[in-house]
Amino acid sequence: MFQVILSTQWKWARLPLLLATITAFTIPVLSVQGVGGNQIQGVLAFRVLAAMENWAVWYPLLAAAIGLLLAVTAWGPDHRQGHTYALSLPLPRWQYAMLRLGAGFVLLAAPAIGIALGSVLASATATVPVGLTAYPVALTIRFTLAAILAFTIFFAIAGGSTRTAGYVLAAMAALLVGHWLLDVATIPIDVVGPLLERLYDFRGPLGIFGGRWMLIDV
Amino acid sequence: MRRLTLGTLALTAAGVLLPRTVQAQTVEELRARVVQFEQQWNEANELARRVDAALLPKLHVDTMAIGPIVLVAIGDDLTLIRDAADGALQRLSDHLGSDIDLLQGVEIYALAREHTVGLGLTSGMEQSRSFILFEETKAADLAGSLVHTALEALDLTQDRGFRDWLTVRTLTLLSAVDFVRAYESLATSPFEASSKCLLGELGGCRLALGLTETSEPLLTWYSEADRRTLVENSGRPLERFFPNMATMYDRCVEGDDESCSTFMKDQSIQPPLPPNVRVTLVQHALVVGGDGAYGRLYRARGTMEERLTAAARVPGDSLIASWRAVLVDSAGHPTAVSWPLGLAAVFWAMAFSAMALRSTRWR
Repeated sequence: MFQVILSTQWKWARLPLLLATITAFTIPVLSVQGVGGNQIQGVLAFRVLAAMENWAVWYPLLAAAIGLLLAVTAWGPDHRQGHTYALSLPLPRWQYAMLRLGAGFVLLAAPAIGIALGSVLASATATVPVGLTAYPVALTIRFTLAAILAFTIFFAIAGGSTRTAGYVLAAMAALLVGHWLLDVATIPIDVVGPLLERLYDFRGPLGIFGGRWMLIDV
Repeated sequence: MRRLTLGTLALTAAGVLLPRTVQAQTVEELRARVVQFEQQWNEANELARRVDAALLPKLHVDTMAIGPIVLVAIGDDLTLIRDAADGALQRLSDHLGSDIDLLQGVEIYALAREHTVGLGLTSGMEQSRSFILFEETKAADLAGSLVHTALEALDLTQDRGFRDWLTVRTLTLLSAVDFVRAYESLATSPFEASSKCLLGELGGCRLALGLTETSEPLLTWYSEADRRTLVENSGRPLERFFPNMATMYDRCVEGDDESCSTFMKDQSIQPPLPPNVRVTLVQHALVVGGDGAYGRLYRARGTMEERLTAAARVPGDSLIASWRAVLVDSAGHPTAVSWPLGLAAVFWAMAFSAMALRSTRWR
């Protein structure tokens, strides 16, 4: 049963997933382009750090995009066909959802392998300046965890009804509008700031997306 | 200008009323007309004053105390400055402790007009600063600037040696990020002394920080390879305009150390580690020294190391070793995923998965 689910999910997601995997492989490789050569020592180290900081933003964005892509493709066809396939199976909903979830986790391995290979290749080919270290394994772990987390978040939202997704979006919009109204009324209450702080705190649900995403760092 | 215009209008109006043919007037009549003109002038003047008062916002002047500091505030609305003064006092008290008395006699001027606040020190303290205050600027931001200005006044009381070594204008309140940046500077410095310091050699730290007193900083703080790096970093001069310097540059790059020294002889030689690292050492000495450290730092004389050890009340070796440890700890391995962070991510992934599985309804 799992193989069938995995195979259908792969069929639905393979093209964008392939693109995402190639992107995951390419970002670390591109980030070290121009690093090394006969640049001046010291100046080089700062340039490398600056280059890594410029590329750092793309890793979490890609992880989130992959999570979203896999979650949407996992549930999309079911929603469109009114769950006829799922209802024809002798399974309770939670088992069916778990199979879809498990298939998504397996498919996440592709971009994870992509970023691992890209990071290792980039670290091996770049001249890492004295004082800096390459972190291919740490970056791969961070990326994989972020992609898994993003996938589960979007999977939970996509698995619900359109109404549930609407509620989530409406809650976010209400928060932003509330923040704007308080701002217009010059009431000094920051609603969004503390919330974001808690979300991105290391214990928070989005903590893994914060911090530094540097292939080469101090 | 407005007054002049109104006065002229009044006089013109009076002139229109004059008879076209000149008639003989008695002295009494002339006096009466003078009195009338005077009255019209005064009325026009009063009207002009009212218009001026209506058009210009009222400026308030207030003198406030931020602990021992006198803050003279001038502006149309001083509410923000008053709130900021309270915040500044709190921050200065936290930062300086009992040493806040060092700020005795410091006067700061604050001028608030529309969306701009300018802060300045009294004459004699040549440095002053101003900044644009946007509508969303809060009292806390202005308090930070007041604290900075106050500490600037404190630094200006110091001798040239201290200020030249520190280079940065003011000993600001450093955050954890500043220590991470300082570690980055230490870790990426291309100079031998810095590398030794990173590996824990205290002598290397002294050289890299410029704590070793010398009349030949280029020869003392920098190795032969470092001098070549310094010259390389400064770039090759244009041969057309500086043929001798270009030749010296080439010789230095090829390995002639004397050419490197000659090339650098007219340049100001700074310690291998940049000012943002040196300032963390001062901050660390102040933290280690606790209450009264600021006072001891500013009252002490002698070499920079003597001043810092006086502030910290620990021997130089201990101070430098603990500073290095703090710097290295501050950076950690920022890209690596710590156990708590990894476990939190796994926990949330499981929580969201459970949410997705929980429902029994197809929708």
